[in-house]
Amino acid sequence: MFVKLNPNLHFQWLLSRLRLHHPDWLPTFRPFLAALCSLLVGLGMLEGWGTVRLLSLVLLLVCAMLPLSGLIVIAGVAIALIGTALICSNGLLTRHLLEPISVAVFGTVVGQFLRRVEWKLASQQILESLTQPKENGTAETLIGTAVSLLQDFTGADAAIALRQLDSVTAEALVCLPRTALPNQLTNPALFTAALEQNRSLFHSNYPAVEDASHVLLAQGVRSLAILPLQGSDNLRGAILLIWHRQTNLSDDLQQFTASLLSELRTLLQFCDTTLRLDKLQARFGAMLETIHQGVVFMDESGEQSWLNQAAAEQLGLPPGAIDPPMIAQAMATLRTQASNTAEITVQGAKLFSQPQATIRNWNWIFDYPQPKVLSVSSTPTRVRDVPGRLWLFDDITEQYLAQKELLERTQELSQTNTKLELAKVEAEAATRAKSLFLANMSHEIRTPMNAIIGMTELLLDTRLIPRQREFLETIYQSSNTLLTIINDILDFSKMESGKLELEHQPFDLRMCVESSLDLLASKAAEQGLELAYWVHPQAPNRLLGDTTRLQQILVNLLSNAVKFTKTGEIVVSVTPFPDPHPQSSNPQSLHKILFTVKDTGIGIPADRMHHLFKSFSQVDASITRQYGGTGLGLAISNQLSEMMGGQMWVESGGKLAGNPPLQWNPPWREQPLQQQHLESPLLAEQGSTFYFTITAAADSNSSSTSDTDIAQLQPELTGKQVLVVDDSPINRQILTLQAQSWGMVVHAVASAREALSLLGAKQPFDLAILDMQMPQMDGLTLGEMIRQQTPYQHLPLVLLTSMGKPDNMAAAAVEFAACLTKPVKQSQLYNTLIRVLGTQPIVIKPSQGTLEIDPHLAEQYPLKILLAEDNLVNQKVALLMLQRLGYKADVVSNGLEALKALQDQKYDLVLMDVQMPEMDGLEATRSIRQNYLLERCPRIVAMTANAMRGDREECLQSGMDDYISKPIQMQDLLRVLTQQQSSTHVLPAVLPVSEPTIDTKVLQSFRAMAGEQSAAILTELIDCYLEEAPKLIEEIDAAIAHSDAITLRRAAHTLKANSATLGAIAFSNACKELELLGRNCSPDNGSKGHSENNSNSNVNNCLAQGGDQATRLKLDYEQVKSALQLERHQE
Amino acid sequence: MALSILQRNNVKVLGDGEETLILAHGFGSDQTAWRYQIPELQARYRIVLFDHVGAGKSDFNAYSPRRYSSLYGYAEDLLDLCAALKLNQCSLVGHSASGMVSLLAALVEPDRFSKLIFISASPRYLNDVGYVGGFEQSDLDALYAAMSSNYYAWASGFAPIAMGNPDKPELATEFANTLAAIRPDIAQAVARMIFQSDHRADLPKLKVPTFILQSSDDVAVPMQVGQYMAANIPKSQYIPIDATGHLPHLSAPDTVSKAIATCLSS
Repeated sequence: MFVKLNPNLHFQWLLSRLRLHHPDWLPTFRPFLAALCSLLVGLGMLEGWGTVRLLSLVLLLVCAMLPLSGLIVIAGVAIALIGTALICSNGLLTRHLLEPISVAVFGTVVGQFLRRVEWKLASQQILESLTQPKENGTAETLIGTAVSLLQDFTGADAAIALRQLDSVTAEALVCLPRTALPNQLTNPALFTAALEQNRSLFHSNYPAVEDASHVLLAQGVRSLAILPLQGSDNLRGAILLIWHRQTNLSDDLQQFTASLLSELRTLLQFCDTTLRLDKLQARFGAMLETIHQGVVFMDESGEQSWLNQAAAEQLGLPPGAIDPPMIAQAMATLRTQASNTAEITVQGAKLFSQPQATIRNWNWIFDYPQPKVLSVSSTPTRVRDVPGRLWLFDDITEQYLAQKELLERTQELSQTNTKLELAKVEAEAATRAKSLFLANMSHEIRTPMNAIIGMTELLLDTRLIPRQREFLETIYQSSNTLLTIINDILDFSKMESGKLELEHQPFDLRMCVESSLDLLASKAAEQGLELAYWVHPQAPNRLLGDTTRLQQILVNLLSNAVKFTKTGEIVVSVTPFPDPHPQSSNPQSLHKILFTVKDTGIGIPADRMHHLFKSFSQVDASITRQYGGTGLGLAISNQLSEMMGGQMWVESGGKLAGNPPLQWNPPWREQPLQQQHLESPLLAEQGSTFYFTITAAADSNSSSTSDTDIAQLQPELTGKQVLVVDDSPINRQILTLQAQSWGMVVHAVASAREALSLLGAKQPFDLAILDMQMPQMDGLTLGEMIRQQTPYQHLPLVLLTSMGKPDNMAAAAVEFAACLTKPVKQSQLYNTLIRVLGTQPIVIKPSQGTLEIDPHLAEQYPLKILLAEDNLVNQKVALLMLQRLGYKADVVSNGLEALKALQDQKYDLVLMDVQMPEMDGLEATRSIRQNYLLERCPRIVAMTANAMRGDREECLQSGMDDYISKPIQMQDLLRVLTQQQSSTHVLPAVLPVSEPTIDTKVLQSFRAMAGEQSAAILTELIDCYLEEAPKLIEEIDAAIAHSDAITLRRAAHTLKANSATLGAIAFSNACKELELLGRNCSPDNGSKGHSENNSNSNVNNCLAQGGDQATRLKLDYEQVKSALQLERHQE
Repeated sequence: MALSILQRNNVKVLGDGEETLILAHGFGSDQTAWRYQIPELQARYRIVLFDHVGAGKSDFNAYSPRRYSSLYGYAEDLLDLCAALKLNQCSLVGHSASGMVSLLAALVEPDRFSKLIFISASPRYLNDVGYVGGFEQSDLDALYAAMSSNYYAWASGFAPIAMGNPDKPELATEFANTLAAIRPDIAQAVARMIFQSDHRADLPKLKVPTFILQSSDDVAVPMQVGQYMAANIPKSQYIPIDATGHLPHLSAPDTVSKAIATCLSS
């Protein structure tokens, strides 16, 4: 606020300030002051006032009018006083001077007062001019006016109104003059401080201010007033008043601006609001005109109503504000033009039932002048308590038509769907009919086949001349072949219709392979073919799967191999197959196994190989004539292996066909696993090799005792020296591998000559395995030669024979420790070697090649049989077959009759046909099982011609014990008859299924003890037992009835011992229980002090519980009896 | 305030010569573009480096589309910087858009600057009656469209064109990378603002001695532009340099360094 006393500067300033309307120059009071002064001077002159006094008046006027600050005046007066005092000490002069000085001071004070009044007036004037309504008075012009007035009244060189846009940007709304800022945009930092303090800041000396804006300084700003403008809505800004000369910003000016500030604030806010309103209006207008929908607004006051362009077109009115009655009229007209007026009215009544209802999707449909559909919506509004409605007219013609079309299409579709559903039902019915037809076909074909095969079999058993026998055998073979073909066709049909399902049962892999080989063994032997197999030790033996179907594949491949191989050998090998994608979840349980069937036959021409696995396709039509067959076998096998999670392929003459796995390498490229062991003499070019894989889970439940034992080293066999003589390299190889796997030292030679020379070298051998058929010298002769050498007189010899030639053995002079039929089964070989080297003489039973029919079987297994069969031919066949075994059977022709027959008398066995009139076999069985107690309930065996899957399960579920399929084979019938007594269902509570009636080990060890005479002794023993046992049981029964504990004890003890001798362990244990009962209940056991009566009653009570046991014992005995009879029969 | 400005513009001060030299980068690059010139100039001058708001390591939060809707916002930043560092009578080298930025700053506060050196600067990029700016409006519209549809693709396409010197593809890659480092929305707004600017009327007002370094084959600034500026800026000198492309300080660093040194010592 300090003002320099520079007269020159002051003069210039005064000149620049010489704006007479400026409040400092007292524009209002100036004329009055001047007039008053003039009047007083005039009066003074008339009065004759002195010059000094007149001058004082002028001085008063000047001091009052000049905008001098009080300080200047005081300083001037002080200087004048001091100067006067110094110049002269004349009192008079001092007195004269005092007058003008006091006048000057007074004038200044008056001036200041008047100036304050002037500023107030100016402020009022500005407010007046701002609040005066002006035409076209926009916010910008208003604020422009305000700033301009401010600049004018304050005498500022420049005035700027700024508005903050964002934290770093401020915009100049008004800039007076235009060049006051270098740019419209600047930094809001200019007024931040003022805004924060919420008061005007006045900088008389702006360059001295810290943080002064260098841009303003560069514009030449010396003094600056910052008037903050802050309103609601984040409005921030300021008015800058700029002086380019340093200016004393008087209190009057500061008060003046402060009084104006609030008004300016309002102005700026108004400016901002107007701007926003404009923006909103522009946006709103654009929206209304952009949307396709017609928008109409009406309020109930009738003041507000308008419509947009689209609505105007729809209603035929000009857009914009329209009188409500006109709009209402237009809307009513439009509605009456609609084609669905009635519907609209009904809907409208419903919609407007509530006053504030919101209406949606009120469709007005027009057919004329062109089809049009308006969807009308309406929302109630309320502005300042005046209710109104906003209407929306949406043209949905296209959607409406599309929807209509869609609806029609949907109806069509649903109709089509219904038709499809019908067609599906029909198709399913057709499929069911097909399945039924297949089942019937199967039944119809099998019934006559049953007759043919059964009768032929029976006829073959009669006295025939050789020529007749030859004819009959041909018939028999052909029938069997026909049956095979029919089975193939049925299998194939089932596969084609997806009806074939695989079983999932635990089975023994080695046994499966061996039994497959068994089936072909005799045929191979007849053709002079070597049949060998090799199961890799690491192949899991217990698997879960369908053993029947696996066997079917193997038999198929083997029979093909036998069929097409004239000389040489057929080798089956089973190896684990490395799976490229092992199941991560359970890697151990799933196994992939590779089966290889290799022959030395005619091979397959390369150009025909690809037809192999196709249905009804054989390599050559001529082959069909030569070898027969349906051509379905391989197709079925292929599909079966695929169903088992595997693949099948073939290799012949270096060519591949079928579906070999990616990682599989043909043996001529890389020796696969089994080939590393079996150095096959067969070249790839010779014969053909069929491969297939299956994926099966290992049977986790099996204890897997047998196979692991075999696979491991055996102490009895480890280190034993064994000589193998066989001309077949593959056999030699297999025997070597097997023996080696048990830790034996194997010397394998190809001929008798080599064998003899080895023996001549005095090798210490423990065992020799000789092949029967060898060129130059056969096994028998070699055996004799070996025996002639002194060191080997007691060398155990094992002879390998092919099937069908076991009779040579009888003629042999040499005693063999064992005789094994080829193909040698690993388990068989193992058992044989264990026995031989365990220094136990082994009695080898020749394998039962052909079935021997025992016409006296009925005597050993006396059974009362009921045959339920409706077909007369089948009745006859079954009766004749039974007759051949010495059985007679009662015949009924349906289930009802069977039930009746069972009521009349007790039967041991019911052979039950499944398909019968009146009541079928299944129902009859269920009825029998329900109505008869266990002990009276006969064993029921199904006989069915249905080969379809599920029959077996159905039979067993209905309560049948067993199942034979027609045509009935003698073997099956035998099995059923001889197993009769070891039936498991009879007393399941007493005898667990797993526990055999007779422990054969006991009998075997007995045989071993008895030596040569064992058979005779055993027979005698069994006969003796069977004679004694019923008597002992009678005694036990009587003892319990008479409460004779001592007799009970003795009899039970005897029976226990006898039974155990013959291996009836379970029965023996049952006897032991009775013996213990007798001992516990006997009066000499802890009950001595009691009276006789007491004792007797005690024994009575005590033995009463033995009654049930005795009953059970009798039933058990029946089982033991039949089992022993079977043993006796086999001896 | 001073500190926040130095942070806002990532200001670096190197060397300790008596005279101060400000190096101002252009659009699409940052202060690292001057790295080839620094070693030679550092010995004699106190060098001030900075990034314009929105570029390099500047404070991106300080970017306001309103404040930087004209080059004046950048000019004010430059003056803030001079005030914060209390720079007076310093020299300034301005590349591309920084040419006009420094011009605007010098119009506001002429005393801050003793010399201005423009490299590839242009007062107007659009052709006009009697004026060759290098672009038609349609060219620029296509450029904006390309930028908004896929900024990064545009950057990799625009960089080699602006850089020129196809024999040194690594230069274009570098420029593309610094272009891509800018926030796409900022880059588009700034590019549009620069290309649409017209400061021809400001040229005659400049009182500070100015050197106009003009390279050849500059796609953004034809030779005529340099000559136009030389003709319209009172105390100016037109100096063609032996370099090509819009970024000669990167593509021909030695030539540019020598030219700057010559201008400064004259």
